Amino acid sequence: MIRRFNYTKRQRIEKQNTDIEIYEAGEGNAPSFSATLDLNDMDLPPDAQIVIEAKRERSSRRFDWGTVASPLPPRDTRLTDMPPNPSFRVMVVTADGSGRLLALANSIKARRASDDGDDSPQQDSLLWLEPVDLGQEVWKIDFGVHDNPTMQVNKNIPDISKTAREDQAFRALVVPEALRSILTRALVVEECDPDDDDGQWSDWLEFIRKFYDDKIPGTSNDRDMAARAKWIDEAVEAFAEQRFHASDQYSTTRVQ
Amino acid sequence: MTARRKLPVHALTDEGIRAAQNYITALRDGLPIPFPDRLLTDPQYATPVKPRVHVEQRSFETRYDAGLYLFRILHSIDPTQVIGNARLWSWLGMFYFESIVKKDADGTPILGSNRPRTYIIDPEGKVGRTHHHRLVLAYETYLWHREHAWFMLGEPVNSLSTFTSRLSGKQEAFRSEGVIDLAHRLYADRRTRKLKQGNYGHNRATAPPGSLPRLLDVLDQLYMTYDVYGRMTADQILPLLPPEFDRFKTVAVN
Repeated sequence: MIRRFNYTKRQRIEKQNTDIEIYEAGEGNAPSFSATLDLNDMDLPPDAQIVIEAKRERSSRRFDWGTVASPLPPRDTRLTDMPPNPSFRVMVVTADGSGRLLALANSIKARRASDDGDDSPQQDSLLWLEPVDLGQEVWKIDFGVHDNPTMQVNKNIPDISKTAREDQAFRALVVPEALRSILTRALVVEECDPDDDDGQWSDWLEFIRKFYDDKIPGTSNDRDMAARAKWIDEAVEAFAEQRFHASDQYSTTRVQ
Repeated sequence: MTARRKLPVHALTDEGIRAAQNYITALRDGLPIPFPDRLLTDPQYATPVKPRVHVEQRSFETRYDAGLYLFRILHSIDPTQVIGNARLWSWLGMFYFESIVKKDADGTPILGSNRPRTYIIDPEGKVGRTHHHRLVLAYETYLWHREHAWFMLGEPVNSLSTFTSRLSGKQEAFRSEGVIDLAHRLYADRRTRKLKQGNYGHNRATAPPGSLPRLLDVLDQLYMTYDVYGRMTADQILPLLPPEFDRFKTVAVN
């Protein structure tokens, strides 16, 4: 199990204090991005260095962003050699050369300057939507590597993005299973630490706790892991019943 | 193809990529078809890149030979236009196909276990997997690390060891000077110019303690607390590693 302890007193940069925007550059050119950070209320040394990373799947790009006292974006913020819809990580690194992180924000989603409201991820949505060629599959959850889960839908199916967002029957069938898949990945495959507030899965677990707050079992042995699998079933059940009303959504659509 | 042929660097068009894929597939299926030479210069298949630079056909023994040559040739082009440029690397993959394809004793290309991605990059394919391309790996290894990565550059250009594949496949680790130096100190033996025994397990679950897959996992954990893929040096990261790495560390220090 990967356990993370915040023994270095690293501070958390709240996501609402970050604003990252991606700018498309047209066919064949890499998009670039801008970032506005509000670190004023944090207790950080003025000479600490700011680094922003863009990540997706196996790709990552680092951008030095000046210091806490003088943020300075680099001249080139192109996201070269990077799949679409990367997530961002903002780090504040001590200036003493030890590499220690003083503050961190993980998995930040960017806005899109040219957002046409169709295929771009919604900044406030936990689950991003990405049309790709899936052959004969209709949808799947893509986890990348240390990445935000993304719901990929088959771009060869007409209006599939709209269907995924608006069609109640589709959503009733797919969304609970997507959630089950994500929780299984987080809690069983990666055995994440549910108490890690800054971890990759913290936003998802915080979301679940709004309607299902039973304690997540540990991972010491096989019995624990079975208990985690059971916890996931119950969490998805609570989501479908209290939050999503999946069966009602499906039945209503079928009657229409 | 003629030896020592010189051409301006091109980028394959969609049709050029398809033609290249068809050629490799045909070869793999055992069809003795000639190299489709027109795809290197015919505007239907390839367009010259700017600024115009010329490459010469030659054979490369090691990844170092290929990386150094391509680095020198491509240095006048903005690296952001080179890195990840699927069409350019696909053209280079075809231009040097004869030099980088593995062959059996009879000179027949061995393509059974190699996918086209070894020579061609699909512009619509997964980004970040380009390290499978033999020339991309050579160029980027040299570009980022020069001779410091001799333990990756010393392999034949037409092969890809599991160790190198795993290390180059994690982009943030591969592009980090500190991490490559760390891998060098832990796993490379300067005296024998080879990798040490036990540096790799066949899968993540059974990776031996202190092996490369374990190092990549541990770095990901440290990444929550330290800027390990940034400016940290190997000297700074080494003391943070758990005792399972001691057997490699000891040798590294000595």
